[in-house]
Amino acid sequence: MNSNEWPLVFFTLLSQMTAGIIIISFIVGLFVRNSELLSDFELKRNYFFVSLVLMVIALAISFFHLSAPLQSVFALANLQTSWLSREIFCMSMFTFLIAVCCAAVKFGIPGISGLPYWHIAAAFTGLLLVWIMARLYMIPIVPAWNNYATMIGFFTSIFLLGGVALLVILVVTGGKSFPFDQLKPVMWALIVVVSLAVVAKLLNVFLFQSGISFTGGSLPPPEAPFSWHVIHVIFFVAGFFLLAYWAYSQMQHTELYRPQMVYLSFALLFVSEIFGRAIFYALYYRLGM
Amino acid sequence: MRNKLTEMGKKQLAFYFDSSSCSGCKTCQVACKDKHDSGEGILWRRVYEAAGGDWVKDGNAWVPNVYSYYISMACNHCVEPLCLYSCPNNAIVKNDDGIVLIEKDRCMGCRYCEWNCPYGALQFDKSQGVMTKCTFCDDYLAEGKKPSCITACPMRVLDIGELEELEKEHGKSNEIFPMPRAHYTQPAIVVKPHRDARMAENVEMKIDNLEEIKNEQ
Amino acid sequence: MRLSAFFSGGLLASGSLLGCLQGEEGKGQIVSVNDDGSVIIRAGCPSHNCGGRCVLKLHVRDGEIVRIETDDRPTDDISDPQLRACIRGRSYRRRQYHPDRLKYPMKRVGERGEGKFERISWDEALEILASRLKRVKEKYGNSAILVPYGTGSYNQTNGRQTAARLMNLFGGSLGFYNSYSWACISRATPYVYGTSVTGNQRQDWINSRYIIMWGWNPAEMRDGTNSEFFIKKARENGARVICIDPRMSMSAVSLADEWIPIRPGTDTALMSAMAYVIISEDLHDKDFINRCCIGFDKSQMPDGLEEEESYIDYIFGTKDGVPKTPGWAEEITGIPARTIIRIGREYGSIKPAMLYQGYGMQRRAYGEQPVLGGCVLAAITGNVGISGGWASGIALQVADGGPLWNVFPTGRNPVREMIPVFLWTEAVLRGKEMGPEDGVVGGDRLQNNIKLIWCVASNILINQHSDVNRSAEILKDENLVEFIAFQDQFMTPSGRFADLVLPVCTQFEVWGLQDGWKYGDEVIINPKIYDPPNEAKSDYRICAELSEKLGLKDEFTQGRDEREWIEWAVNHFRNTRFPEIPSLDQLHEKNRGVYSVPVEKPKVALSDFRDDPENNPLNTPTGKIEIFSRQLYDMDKPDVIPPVPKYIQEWESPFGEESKRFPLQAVGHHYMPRVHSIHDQIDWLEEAFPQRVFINPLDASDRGIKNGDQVRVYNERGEMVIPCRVTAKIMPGVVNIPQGAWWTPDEEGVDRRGCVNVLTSHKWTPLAFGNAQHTIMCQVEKA
Repeated sequence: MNSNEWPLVFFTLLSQMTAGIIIISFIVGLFVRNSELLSDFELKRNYFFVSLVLMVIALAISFFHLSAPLQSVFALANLQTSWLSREIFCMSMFTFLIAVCCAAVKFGIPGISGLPYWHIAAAFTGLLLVWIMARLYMIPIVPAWNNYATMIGFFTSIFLLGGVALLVILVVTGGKSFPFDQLKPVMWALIVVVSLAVVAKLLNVFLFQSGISFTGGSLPPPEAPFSWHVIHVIFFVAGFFLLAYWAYSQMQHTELYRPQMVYLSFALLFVSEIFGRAIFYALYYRLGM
Repeated sequence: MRNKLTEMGKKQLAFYFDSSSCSGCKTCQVACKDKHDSGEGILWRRVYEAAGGDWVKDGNAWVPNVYSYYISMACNHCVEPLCLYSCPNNAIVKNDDGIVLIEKDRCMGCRYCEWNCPYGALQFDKSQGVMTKCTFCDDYLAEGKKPSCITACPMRVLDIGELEELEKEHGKSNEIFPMPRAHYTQPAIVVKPHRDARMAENVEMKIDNLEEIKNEQ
Repeated sequence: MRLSAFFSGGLLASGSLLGCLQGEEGKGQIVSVNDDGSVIIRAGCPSHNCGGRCVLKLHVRDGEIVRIETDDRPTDDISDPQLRACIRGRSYRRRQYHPDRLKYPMKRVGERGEGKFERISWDEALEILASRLKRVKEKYGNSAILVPYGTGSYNQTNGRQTAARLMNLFGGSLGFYNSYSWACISRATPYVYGTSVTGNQRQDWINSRYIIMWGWNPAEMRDGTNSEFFIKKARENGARVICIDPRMSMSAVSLADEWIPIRPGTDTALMSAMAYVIISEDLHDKDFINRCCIGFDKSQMPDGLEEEESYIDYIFGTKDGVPKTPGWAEEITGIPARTIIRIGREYGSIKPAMLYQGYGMQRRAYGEQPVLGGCVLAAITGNVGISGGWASGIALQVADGGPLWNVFPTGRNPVREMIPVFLWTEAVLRGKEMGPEDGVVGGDRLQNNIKLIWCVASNILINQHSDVNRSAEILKDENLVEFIAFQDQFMTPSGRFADLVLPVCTQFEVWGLQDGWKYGDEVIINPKIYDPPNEAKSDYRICAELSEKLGLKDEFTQGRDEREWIEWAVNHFRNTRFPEIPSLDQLHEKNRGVYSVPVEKPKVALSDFRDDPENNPLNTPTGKIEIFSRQLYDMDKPDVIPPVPKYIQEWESPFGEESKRFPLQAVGHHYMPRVHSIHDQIDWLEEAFPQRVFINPLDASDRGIKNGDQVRVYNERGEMVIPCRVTAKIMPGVVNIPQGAWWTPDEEGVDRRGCVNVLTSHKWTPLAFGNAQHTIMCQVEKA
C-alpha cells in the first residue's frame, strides 16, 4: 500500500460512518416512532452535528490525498465518465444536506422546517454516495476490487460503524440519568443492525474476498502485512463481543451500565475497520504492467 | 458514454516495437528522461525483462529451458483511454493525433488515473505534485521529428506510425506478456513478438527486473 | 520551429558560448537555434574507451548542456550507419553536472588510503609534483616512475598519453605492454596468423550464414558502435546466430537464435570437441588445410618435430589417450554432447561462418588457449580469408588494422625496460628482481622498484586491478611507493590512495578528437563546449603547466594549445587513414560531429594469403597458419603453453579441491551502465541497471536466498555484501558480479558496493602475462 493512500482509509471510513449515522438514525426513527428519545431535540442535534463534523474532517483529510488541492476546483468537470467526479459531487451534496439538517434542528430556519424530508434526502444521498464510492473502486483492471465484495464491504462499514457510532452518541447524550427502559427498542434495533453488518462482513470475507484471483497479471501478487490481518480480526472479535456483553448486561439494568464498554467497543471496531480498509488498499493489483 | 472519443475519424498515432531484436539496453528510457528532465523514479518509457523457465540436469550437463525477451513500453495513447475516462478534472485529453496528454494545470494529483492504467504509463511526479506521462514528444512531431526514444534506439527496433497502417503492415499484435488483454483500453501499439513470447502460454513467465520498473512509488 | 542559420562568430558573442561557437580564428559554425534559445552542437560522446565511438547532439543554453540527443544524419544505411549513442552517453548530463566532480587541487592530510584531503593552489600542487618527480629521478632514476595503464579519457588532449609524453621528455618512465582488455588475444593471435589484422570489415558480416557469438555480448558492452546492429542485419539476411555464454546475455536474447550456456573457463574443451565432430565427420576443409596450414596432422608437422603431438593427435587422443569427444566435453563444459555434435556439424557445414570471440574468456587462466582454439577452428573449416567468414583472433580491421585510437604523440620512452601491464604491483614489490621470467622485455632486469606513481585517467590502482585488498595494502605502505599523484574527474577508489589530487575537466570542456573504436572508418570531433568549471583543467593543460616547472615547456607543448593539437591530429589523420578529411575549422563549421568514409565494398582479411599462400605468406615462421607453433613448442612449457591449443583445467575451478570451500564460479561481465568503473555514480544508470549479484534460482534456494536479499560473496581474498538478483538467465554454479563498481569497504573491510576485484586473483596467464580476472571461485550466503 502506498503511503499516499492512508488519507483515503480515513476519508472513506469517516464518510461511510457518517452515511451510516444518517441512514440508521432515519431507519430506526421509522421503527421506533413513539420513542420520545429519538425525537429528542438534543439527540438529533448531536448526531447531525457530529455527522457534519465528521464530514468536514473527512473532506479535509481527502485534501491531504491531493498534491495539488487548488486544482480541485475542476473536480466536477467529468461527471460524464469519471466515478471520482461523481463521488466528489455526491459527497458535496451529502455534506450540504447534513448541514441543512443541522440548520433545521438548531435554528429551525423557516422553509427548512421539514426536517424529516431533509433527513430522508440526506439518507438517500448517503446511500448513493457509498454506492458511487464502491463503483469508483470497481476498476476493470483491478481484480481485487472489481467485484461485489467492494460493494458489500463498503455497505457493511456503513452499518457497523454507523450503528455503533449512533449507540455511542445515544449513550453520551443520555448520560447517567437516561431512562434506559425506554431505550431498549432503540438499542435492540442498533444491536440488530450491527449484528447484520457482522454477518455480512463474514459472508463477504468467505464468499468473495477469499476467491480473488490475481492470474492474468505480470506483477507479483499483492500482500498486506500479516500483522494487519491479525489486528483486523482480533480487534473486530474483541469489539463485537464486548458490545454483545455490554448489551446483555445493559438488559439486566435500568440505569446506564458501564458506558466505557461502549466507547471501548467502538474504538476496537474502528481500529479493526482501519486495518481492514488498509488491507483493501494494499490488495490493489492491476492486470497488466 | 465511454465512447465519446471514438466517433472521431481522427488520426491515431501509435508506437511500433520490434521485441524480437530489442536488447533491453534502455537507451530509450534514458533518452526520454533526458529530453523531459524526468525526476527520480519517473520512467515514461521503461523496459520490462520478461523471463521464465528452468534448468534440467541431464547427466553432467545442464539443459536450459529458459526464455527471455524485452518489452519497451511507454504510454500507448489508447483508443479507449481509461485514464482519461477516470480523471475527474478532465485534465487528460486526447488530441487530433490521438495522443493522450495531461494538462498539468488541471491536475490535482489524486492519482486515480494511475489506478486505471494497465500499462503503468501514468506516473506521479512528487516534486511537481502532478501526474505525468509520455507525450509522444508532440513538440518534436510539430517540428517534423520523431519522438526522442525512437531516434535513440541503437538496435532500431522502435518506430511510430498511424495505428491502422502499422496494423496493416505488421498485423494486430498488442497482448504480449506482460501486456494486459487489449480490450480494456485498445492500446495504440504494434509489437513484433520475440520468439520466446509464445512461451508465455506454456511456461510461467515473470518480470525479472521488477525493481528497475518502479512504477509504484 | 527550427531555424537553421549561419552564425558568424560575433552574432553570439554575447553569451558564454563564445568559446564554442567561434573558432579561435573567429570562424563561425552552422548551428540550429531552438525555440528556447538553445543551440545544437554535435560532438563526440566523451571518449572513455567504452569500445564505441558515437555522436552526441548537444542542446546548449546559457552555457549549459540542457539536452543530449544523438547522431541525426539523414541517412542510416549499413555502409555508414548513424553512430547512435547508448544509455551511457545519453545519461552524460548526470555525470557532467555531478556534484562530486573534483573542483580543486588537494593534498593528502590523513593516512594514505584514508581519503582525507585539503584544498591547495594549483601552483603549490604542481610544485609538489615537480619536486617529487625530480627527487625520484635523482634518487632512483626514471624507471622508478610509473604512469599507469588507464583508459579513462581518450580524446587526445585528455588522458594518460599527455603525461606519458611529458615523462618521455623528462627522461622516461617504466614502460609496459599489454592491456587489461585483451592481453591474451593480442599476444596469441599472431602465433597462428602472424598478424593481428584478422578481421573483415563489419559490413561483410551480412554475408555470413552462420555466426557464433562466443562469449561475445556486443549488445551490452561496446565492441564497435553498431556491432549489434550489424549482427541484426546479418540475421535479417539469413544468418543463423548462436551465442555461447554462461549468461543469457542481452545479446543472447536479442541477437541469437540459440543460447548455449557453458561453464566458464571451459571454452577450449568445447572447441576441441567441435573439432572432433568436424574432423571425424569429414567436414573439415582439407584443401584449405593442405594449402594454408601446418600442424594439423602428422604430415604437416615442422621439420624435426614429426613425432610431436599434432592437432589431430590431440583431438583424437593419440598421444594422451583421451579422445576429445563430445561426451568428454560434456563433463567439462556442462553442455550436452548432442548439442556439441549439432553445433560442430553446423559450424563445419554451413558456409561461410563466423566464429567471433569475445574477450572475456581470454581474461582467464590459460586465456591464450581459447584464442588459439578459435583461430584453429576457423582455419580447419576454411573460414579464413573469405567474405562472410571470420578468421577469429583479435581481428583488427583489414586493411590497415583499423582505428589508431590515440594519435597524440608520446614520443620515445628512454627507459627501455617494459613490464607486462598487469604485473605493476610486482614491480612495486620486487621490480629489481623482475626479468624475462616475469615478462620483462627491453632489458634483463628492471633497474628499480616503482617509487612514484602518477595516475592519470586511471582507476587501476585499486578498483580495476585484481585483488583490491592486496593492492590497498601495497599502496598504503609509503616505503614502497613514495608518492602517488592522481589526476581525474572524480574521486575514485584509486584517488583515495593519492598524496596529491589534481582535478581534470571533462571531454566536453576541452577540444578533442577520436576515431572509431576497433571498427569504423570515421573521425569524430569533440569541440570544446565551454570552459572547465571551478579549477579543473585538461590533462594536457596540467602537463603543459607542469612541463614549465620541469623546464620542458617548449619541447612538450611545441607552442600548441589543445585546439592546435587537435588540428595537428586532424592533419595526422589526413596523412594516414583519411586523405580526404577536411580541416578542423571545416569540420567544426559543418557541425555534423563526424567525418566518415562509407564502406561500400567491405574488405576481407587474409584473402590474398588464401588465394596464393606461396606468394603472399603470413608473417609466421612457416608463412602459413600455424595450428602447431614451433615458437610455443620451443618455450618448453607444454603443460601451460602447449604448441597446439588445449583445454587446461584452470587453477581455480569447479573441478579442483578449492571448489569444496568455494563452489561457485564468479564472472564479472561488462555491465550496461558502466564503462569499466566509469559512470558508477550516475543515478539514471543505477536506476536502470542496479549493481547486483546475479545468481541462479537453484543455487539461491540451496542457500535460502530470495530475490533481493542482501548476500555475502566471499573467498579467501575478500568479501562483499550486496543485494542479489535471482534469475534463471545465468547457469547454475555461476554467479555474476558486473565489474567496475566502486570499492566501498566498511569498517570491517567488507565491500558494500560490489567491486568484483575484491575476489579476483593476482595470478597471471602463462604466455601473455595477462590478467586472469574472471577465474574466480567463491561462496555466496545470505548476509
